[in-house]
Amino acid sequence: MDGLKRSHDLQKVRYNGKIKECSKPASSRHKLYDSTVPDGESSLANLPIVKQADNAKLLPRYTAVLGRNVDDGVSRDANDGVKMEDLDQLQQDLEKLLSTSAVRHRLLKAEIENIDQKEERRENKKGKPVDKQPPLKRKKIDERVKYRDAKNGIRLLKPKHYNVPLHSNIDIQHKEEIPKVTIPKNDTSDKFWLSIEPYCADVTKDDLVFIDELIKECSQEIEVKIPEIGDHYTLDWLEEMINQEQSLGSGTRNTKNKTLTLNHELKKNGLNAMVETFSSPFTQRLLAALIEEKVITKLPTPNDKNKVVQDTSSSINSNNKSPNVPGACLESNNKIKREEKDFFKLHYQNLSTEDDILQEIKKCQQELETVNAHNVTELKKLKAIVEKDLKRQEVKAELDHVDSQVLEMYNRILMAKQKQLAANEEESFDKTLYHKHYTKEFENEANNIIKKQVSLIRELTELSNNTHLY
Amino acid sequence: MPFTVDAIAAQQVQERLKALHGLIYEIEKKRQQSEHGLNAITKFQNSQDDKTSYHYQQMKLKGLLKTAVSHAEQEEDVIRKALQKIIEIRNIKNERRIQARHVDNKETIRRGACMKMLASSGQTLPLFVGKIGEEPPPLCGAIPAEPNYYAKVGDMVAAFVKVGEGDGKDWIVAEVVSFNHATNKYEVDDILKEQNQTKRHTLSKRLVVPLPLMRANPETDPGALFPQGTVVMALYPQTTCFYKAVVNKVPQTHADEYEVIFEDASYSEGYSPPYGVAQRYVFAIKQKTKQT
Repeated sequence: MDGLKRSHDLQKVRYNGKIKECSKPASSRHKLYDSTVPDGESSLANLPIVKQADNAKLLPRYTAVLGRNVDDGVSRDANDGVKMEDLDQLQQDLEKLLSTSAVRHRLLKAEIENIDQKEERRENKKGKPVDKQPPLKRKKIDERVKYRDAKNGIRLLKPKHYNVPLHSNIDIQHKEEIPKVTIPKNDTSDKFWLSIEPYCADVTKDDLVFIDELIKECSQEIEVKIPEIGDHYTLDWLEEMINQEQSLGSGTRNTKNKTLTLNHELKKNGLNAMVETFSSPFTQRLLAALIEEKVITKLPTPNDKNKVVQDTSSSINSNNKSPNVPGACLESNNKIKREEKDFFKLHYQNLSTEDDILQEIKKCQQELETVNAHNVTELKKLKAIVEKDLKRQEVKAELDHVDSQVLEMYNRILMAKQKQLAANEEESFDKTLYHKHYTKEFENEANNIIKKQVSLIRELTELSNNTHLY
Repeated sequence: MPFTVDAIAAQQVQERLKALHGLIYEIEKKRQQSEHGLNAITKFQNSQDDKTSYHYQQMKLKGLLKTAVSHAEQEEDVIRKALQKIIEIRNIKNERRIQARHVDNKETIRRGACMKMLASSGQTLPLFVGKIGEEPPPLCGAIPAEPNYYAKVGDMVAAFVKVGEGDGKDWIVAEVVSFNHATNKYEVDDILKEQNQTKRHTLSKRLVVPLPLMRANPETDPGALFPQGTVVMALYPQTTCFYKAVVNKVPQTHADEYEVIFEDASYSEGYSPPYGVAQRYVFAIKQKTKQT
């Protein structure tokens, strides 16, 4: 029992009381972990196993069953309550064994993997002697991690929670890990500025030319010829109507007969063809006779139709005419229309002096002219701005040039100074003259450039100030 | 010997018991093997010295470990077989019971006996010990059933029914009598049969929660347990009703129970002292259900 106690203490140290110590029932089982080896070796010394020596104590029912002969074993009394008791306890014992062995299995697997990893590491850095015993402290941490991993079956994985429905907000620590999302490179701003660029570009001479063209176009006189006022539409329409009726009246008499005969013949032929299909000559003759008669009786139909046409055409003012005399009707009709026409003519000639449409057109033209004039002034303004801007660009280019000159100058002065220093050591007597000569030259040049620069800058600011006013 | 249903069942049980006995001997053998293997490893570790090369030592250790793994596997196998036998025996018994109920429905159990039965069935619920890489199946521990799952006849369920005279509904322990696929409704029996009220209830599927069919092993599948702090429904000790509770302590070994604290207005703090409740009688509440 002494050994047992020691091993229990050892257990506590080994797992730091973290996993197992919290449960009292568990500790009873972990007392069993074989540990004759002193502390600090490896987890191998603590592989869980229920020792056979502890059978009687830890697996009472199991031991009891094991102790029986096969003949008189569990099968002795099948139906009494003892058997059920047996099973329950036996199940517990077996579960204990199974759990222990499952955990051991996982630990062993983990251990093998551990060795494999070590091997790999060793092979990776060949030549370097591997520490046989890594620092104890680190090892301990490793073991703990390993043990926990091994329990979950798979190494290097966080404890899984299999869709356990959680209804409490206390379980924040079980949140799933958020998978890393690779954000695609955002080049929208680049695209935007690229699309904007043409609008921000400097104005060019082409733009100026374009504006010139526009001004030219706009300053032309608008010459839209307004056609002379013609007859009033009612007169036109009356004329048309009269012409139509006249042609209709003259044509009716000739076309009437023509269409009639044509119709007659067509019908006859069609019917004849039909009649011929009948076999007997008597029936043929009879049918033919009947058809002939019918055609004759039907003769007035086209006439009627014509009459109707006439009626409709002259229905505007023909109440007093009989439909039987179309010729006379037409005559009078036309006469009336002509009178009407004359009347309208007179009336509208009076009206023409106050032409609404003409006035409207003129008004529109005037508006157009004013708008055009405004456009031209604006365009001219724009042109001035553009010209100024072009000038500004020129100045800016010049300024850039001067800037570079200044830089160059500065460099040259620096160089000269250095040279001077170097020369000083050798020819000190010539120094002052040389120095003066050089400095004057440089000073003049520099002054010139800087003056130019200043003036250019002034110009530029003036120009840009003006442009910004608009 | 007359060949009644009972007799056949008894015979089947006998066969399994015999097989079980045989398996236990086998287990003992395998255990011996495992122990030897482990001893060898320990011995090897003790005898380690600097004479032999590190590489050689590691190789040898690996070999020993591999043997130990295979021993463990074998041992596991046999134990699983033995446990399977026990499950089979239980199933046979249960089927007999269901059949008997169909024939003669006057089976009455006293309250005390009922409690005892609940406790033992909570304890003897099969334990799931996952193989390496195996995930716990649905209805193992805290893993919920699949949506289209329906409890089998004779399974224990939690049913939301009216209890007593008109003071709301409660979740009770019940047993499935039948399930109608057409109406999607269960017929369940109250597990407590002494009360003089309608013990049979017809309930829609959503008012019935199947209880776990397996226990999860905290040592191998801790993920299949409700973590500490989870709000669950748990069987109040000495009753057959489930009440809202908070998990206070998660089981640490296969034999442990959950330690839960019930919401209980009869205590001044509004919570009961911690009670132990078997894995079988703890299930997740649905957010929708209104609990009194």
